[in-house]
Amino acid sequence: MKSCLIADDSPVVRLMVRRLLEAAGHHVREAPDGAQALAACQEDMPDVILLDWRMPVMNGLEFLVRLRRLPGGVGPCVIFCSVESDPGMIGQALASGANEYVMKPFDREILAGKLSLAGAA
Amino acid sequence: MTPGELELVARLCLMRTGRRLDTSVPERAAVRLGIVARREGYGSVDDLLLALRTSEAERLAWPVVEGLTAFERGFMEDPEVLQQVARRILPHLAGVRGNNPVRIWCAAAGSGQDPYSLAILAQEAAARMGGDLQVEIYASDLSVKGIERARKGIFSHFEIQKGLSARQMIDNFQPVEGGWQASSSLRDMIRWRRVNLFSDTPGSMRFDLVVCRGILPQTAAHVRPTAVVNLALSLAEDGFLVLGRGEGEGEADLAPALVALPGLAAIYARNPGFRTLEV
Repeated sequence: MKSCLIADDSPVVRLMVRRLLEAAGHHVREAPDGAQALAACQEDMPDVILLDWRMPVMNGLEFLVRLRRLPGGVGPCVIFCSVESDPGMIGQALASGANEYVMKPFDREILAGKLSLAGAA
Repeated sequence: MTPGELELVARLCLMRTGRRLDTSVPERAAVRLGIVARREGYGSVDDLLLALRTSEAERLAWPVVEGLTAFERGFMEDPEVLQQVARRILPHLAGVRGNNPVRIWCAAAGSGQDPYSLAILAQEAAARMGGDLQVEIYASDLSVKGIERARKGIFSHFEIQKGLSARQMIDNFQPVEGGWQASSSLRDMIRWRRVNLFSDTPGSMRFDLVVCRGILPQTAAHVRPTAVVNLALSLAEDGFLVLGRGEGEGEADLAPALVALPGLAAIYARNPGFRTLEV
């Protein structure tokens, strides 16, 4: 079982991803923006973070850069889950420290595959 | 679909391709026939089947068979097996072949994920080896429509995300209308042709590596030896065959032609003594 954090401003997306992760036996927390996600990480660093790009207060990319500077912040496997499908932006996410990238919409099989690719299954 | 109609199309698949249609889920066959019906200009599956049984039997036989037996695979399926190919087999073959290209045949290529996966892995292996690896990939399938589609190398939003890492995706594909298209350098590595493993005898070309995954389990028992012999005879004497994981285990049909390689899952070599059927 992995501890997972879903950082996404959409309650619908959070609920859907939560269901997929819980069905796979993982423990899940949620955060509606990057700032709250960062606070959640400082409180208890998760194993896996499912990260939206565009969020209020602090976007996903800024969160990722700050996360990696935290003590223990290089540990979590970060998978971007975003509607952005521009190869340049995907490359930027990977260069900034994301382990994998999922383009929305996605299904259970895609998410499971990306978790596996990122070594977080 | 009635059981009789299902039996009719299953028999057609068996006669034309030697492959057993999975009839345990009739709805799956009905969905696939619905696609064929629309493509061939019929209003419903019932109309298609009526024409298949009467006036248009010969014209519709292959479209129906192709539609029912089409492969749906993801990229990089069975990654452990493919990593063995990339990390051990390809470097070995490159060393043996020297300046000559390593010839790969991807049989039953379906919608193209397997040959494109091999092309990506070969490019990555070549980069690791400082460019000392040239490959030629030949991909085949039973379905002409499937080949047409695979040659274009366009995969949907969902297909492109199954099996490829994000890095592999953006390094090898570009967004286009309707999905993501393989780069021209990737597409140029692959040559396509139609092959029916059941009836087509091997040509004169011999391959260093043959990848044939997912076919043998679907092949009827009385046809499997022919398919195995055709695969074995298409191998260079020091070539390798890659099957799907577990597909060759306990397969008595493989024994005369192929030998399992210890320590390499799902990878076989041509039996050195297997020459008798070669003309």
